[in-house]
Amino acid sequence: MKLCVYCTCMGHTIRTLPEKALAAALEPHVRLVSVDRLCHAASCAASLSERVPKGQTVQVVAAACSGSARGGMALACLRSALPMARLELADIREGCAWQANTGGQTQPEEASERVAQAAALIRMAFTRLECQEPELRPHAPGELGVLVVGAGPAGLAAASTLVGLGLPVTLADRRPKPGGLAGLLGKLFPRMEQAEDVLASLPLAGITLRLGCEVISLRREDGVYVASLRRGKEDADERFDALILATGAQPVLPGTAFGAKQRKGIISQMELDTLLSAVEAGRKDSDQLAAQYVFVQCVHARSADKPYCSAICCPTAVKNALRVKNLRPQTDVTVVNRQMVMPGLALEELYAAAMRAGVRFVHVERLDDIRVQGEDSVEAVLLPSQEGGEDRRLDADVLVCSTPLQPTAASAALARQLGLRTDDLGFVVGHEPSHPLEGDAEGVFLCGSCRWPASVEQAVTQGRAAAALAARFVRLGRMPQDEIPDTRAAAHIERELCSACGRCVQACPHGACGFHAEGEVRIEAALCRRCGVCAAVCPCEAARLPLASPSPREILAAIRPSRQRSLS
Amino acid sequence: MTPTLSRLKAICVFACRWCSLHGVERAGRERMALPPQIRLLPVPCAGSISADNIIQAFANGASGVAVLGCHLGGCRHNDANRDAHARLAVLADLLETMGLDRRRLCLSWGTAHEAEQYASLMRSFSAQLEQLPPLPDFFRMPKNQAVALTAAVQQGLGPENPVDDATENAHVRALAAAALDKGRLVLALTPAGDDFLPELFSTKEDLPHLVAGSKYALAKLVGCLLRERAQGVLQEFGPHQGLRERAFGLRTCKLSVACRACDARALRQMADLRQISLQDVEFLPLPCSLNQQRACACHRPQWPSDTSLLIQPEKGSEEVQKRIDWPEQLSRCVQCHRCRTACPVCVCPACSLDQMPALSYGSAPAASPLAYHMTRALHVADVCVQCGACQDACPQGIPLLRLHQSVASSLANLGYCSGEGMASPLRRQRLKLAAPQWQDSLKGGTSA
Repeated sequence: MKLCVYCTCMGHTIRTLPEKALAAALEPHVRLVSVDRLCHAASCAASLSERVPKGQTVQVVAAACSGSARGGMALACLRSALPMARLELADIREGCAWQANTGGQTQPEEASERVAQAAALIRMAFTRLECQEPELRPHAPGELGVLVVGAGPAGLAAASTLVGLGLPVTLADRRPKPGGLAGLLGKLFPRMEQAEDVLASLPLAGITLRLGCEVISLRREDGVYVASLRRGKEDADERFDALILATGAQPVLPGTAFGAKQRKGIISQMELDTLLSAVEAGRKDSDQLAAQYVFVQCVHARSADKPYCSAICCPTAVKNALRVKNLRPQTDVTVVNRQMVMPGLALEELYAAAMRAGVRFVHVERLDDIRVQGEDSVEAVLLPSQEGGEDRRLDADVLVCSTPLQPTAASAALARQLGLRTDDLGFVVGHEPSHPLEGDAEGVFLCGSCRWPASVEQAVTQGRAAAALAARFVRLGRMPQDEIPDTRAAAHIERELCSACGRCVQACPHGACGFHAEGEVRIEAALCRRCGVCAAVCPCEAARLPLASPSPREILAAIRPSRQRSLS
Repeated sequence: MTPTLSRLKAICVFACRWCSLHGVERAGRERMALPPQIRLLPVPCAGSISADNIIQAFANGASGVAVLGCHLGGCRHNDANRDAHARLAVLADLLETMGLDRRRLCLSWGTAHEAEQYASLMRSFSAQLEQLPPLPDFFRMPKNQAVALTAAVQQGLGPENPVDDATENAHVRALAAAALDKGRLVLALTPAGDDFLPELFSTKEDLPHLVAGSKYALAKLVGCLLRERAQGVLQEFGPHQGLRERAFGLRTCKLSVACRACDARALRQMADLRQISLQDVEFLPLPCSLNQQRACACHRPQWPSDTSLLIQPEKGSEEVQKRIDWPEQLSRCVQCHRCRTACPVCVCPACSLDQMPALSYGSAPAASPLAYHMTRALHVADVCVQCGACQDACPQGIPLLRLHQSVASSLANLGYCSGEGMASPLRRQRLKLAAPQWQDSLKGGTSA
């Protein structure tokens, strides 16, 4: 059954488009029902409930305003009133009624032309409905939910936010415990909260947990994302509407810096953190702390192979220096640095507190100038003097290397499978600069340190933002005239029709069309942005983009004279 | 508004969803007066508009078609709108050739806030359409209307003038003998009554039967012999039945083809379309004599070379072009589709033009020959080598070569010439972003 719900827009459209004239111009089998305010859920439901037979699958065209006005709302109200119907929007307000010459009275010729135009717009919308293949919508949007890869602070924040927004969420992490790197820490800068308290404020309730599960591959099939999850030796495929990558980063290990292989007493900030947490929790005595600590900043950072500052190692060093001073005030702590990076008010206060507590900060020009004394264990650190006098000697029991975060190979591999870009270092890049948390593939969102080293606070912020974007994508992805045009079905190639001539491969602006083995052309769904160029250049209609471009039938519906005219 | 308004039929407006559509909706929201004939069709990108869509719109009776995209340089799809620009420029030239005023096609770039510009553009466009003479019932002409070839066209085509030159024959036989020595099979012509037929030569004893002959489009045949999936097409070439059976030798031997410059260009173009591999084919070049060039009305007798040879339109050919009344000429088309079958660069396994009858309505004939030939000319626009095989195959003597030459000259304006290995302006390769694992297969070069 075909039904046209005509929104008279509180009289805004009815003057130009009288209901009777419009009904006469439509096909005889289309029923016209007028509603005062289609974008008002209650009045819409009230006026439709009596006039529309229940239980029938109906094709409904909302003859209302444009999608950029309140057309989306009108469709949403219709959806709640007629849950089983297939809906489409015809813009007869901005697209027709409001284009009428409003100065003076409308001429009868123009009035009939306007009615014909509105009838054509409605006819075109019905054609679009007919061209839609119902099997393209195997599930209601949002039914499959969102997969969050990585259960660090960013992933936890994203997953708990999505639960709050009422979407099904799956959280996968290869570690058996949530928390990521932050789960290994004791306290967090700048407010020195306990890390476990912060993580506990991101509740796991309502999340489908896949912990101890490795995400082996991510791919796009039939408009949804398919993830292969491996637990132990078992692989399982699961389907999702959208993805959030929160795969994080890993700290660089001190390695052979300062002869760490031969000498004892050279550790990383993570190791010091573990010790400090144990002492703070009372599991170890404060005597276990060394008498003299020297922290060296920028180890393996801002160097030739890692030419960047990850901006979280300085705050970490200051945090740990303060913790040492709190636990054992008589300990000497010296932070040898090329430059301290402590942005923001809270970190500046932390820096000042450290100086007040007696932490010394010593500047060096180059890390290569630093020499370490001691055969088997660290005895002292020698720094070159500034005026060319004697080297400055810092006695040290333990040398703590502050190392940056580096991208993981696993997250870069997942990004590549999805067609996302990574920078030269291997961090995943979003759509800079305007959509940094959105990946180049539609429906993939990024947060946390897989983008760039982030503090826990930054990771949580990004996780929540990515969740909001993902929820919007899942909810609105299929709305007509949305900012993201039309649905998720990517273009595809009908293999029997394809001559593999390569026209689409050359023309595709996004590199989604490509030759596979045996010269077969395929379209990589994850890279397809649905521009329809492949369908336009294909001479034999082998490349197809359903629902996006006007079909020949819609063009015909647009031009065909309406009923009223052909009768006269 | 004036009463004459009703004379205008629908104006199809294809608007890009990213920019122009918002501008169009804004025009409505701000109550700007717009012609009521506008039928708005949102599209994902101006690049998704094919010439087919526009020809369909005109064939269905649209008075005008407007294509609105994002500003050049502002396309969301990596400059796909520039491709649309190139494509529609060729289409506009073709409309003009066909006698349909090119002002009926309007191409414009705009963005979301330019509602006022859109409104004034639409008002002036519809006013312009009013000024034009009413759209002739171009696409709805009766079939089989016998129209004699006009004198001008006949002059342009020249007389049928088969050449049988002893020196040419000796030349091609020497080439063929050398190829046979290398263990190759030779595809060339053999006399059959007044005409010539293609033949596969495998022994030197048969060489006396080999002649250079007049032009005979062998390229399609080569494609049929080399492509498994094209065997069906071979059946449609009546006299060549059995050739395929004899061509079983091709599994062990390579093929040498006695070819004219146009054949060579067609084969290169087929290799560009990945239908054959040029490694399987060797050319035995046959230069065309002046007589033959005249007989074919050939624009490009030169053998294809690496230096690009742009089409130099013959003197006076433009006048000939103008004097061809295409609606009249094409009204003789009986839709046998032999032009398509003979075309060497028509390589699709199924032609979308067979779907065209579904487009018509009311009293219009099932499919309009004009729409058919326009769409076909644009489908092969940048691959057509102007070999004239379509024209030779036409039982009605429609000068189709002229049609393809006019499309080629619009492309020549864009600096493109087919069969020379140039990148087509209608599908520029802009992006080298393909996923890494694909590049190996691209480099490997697959011969379909």
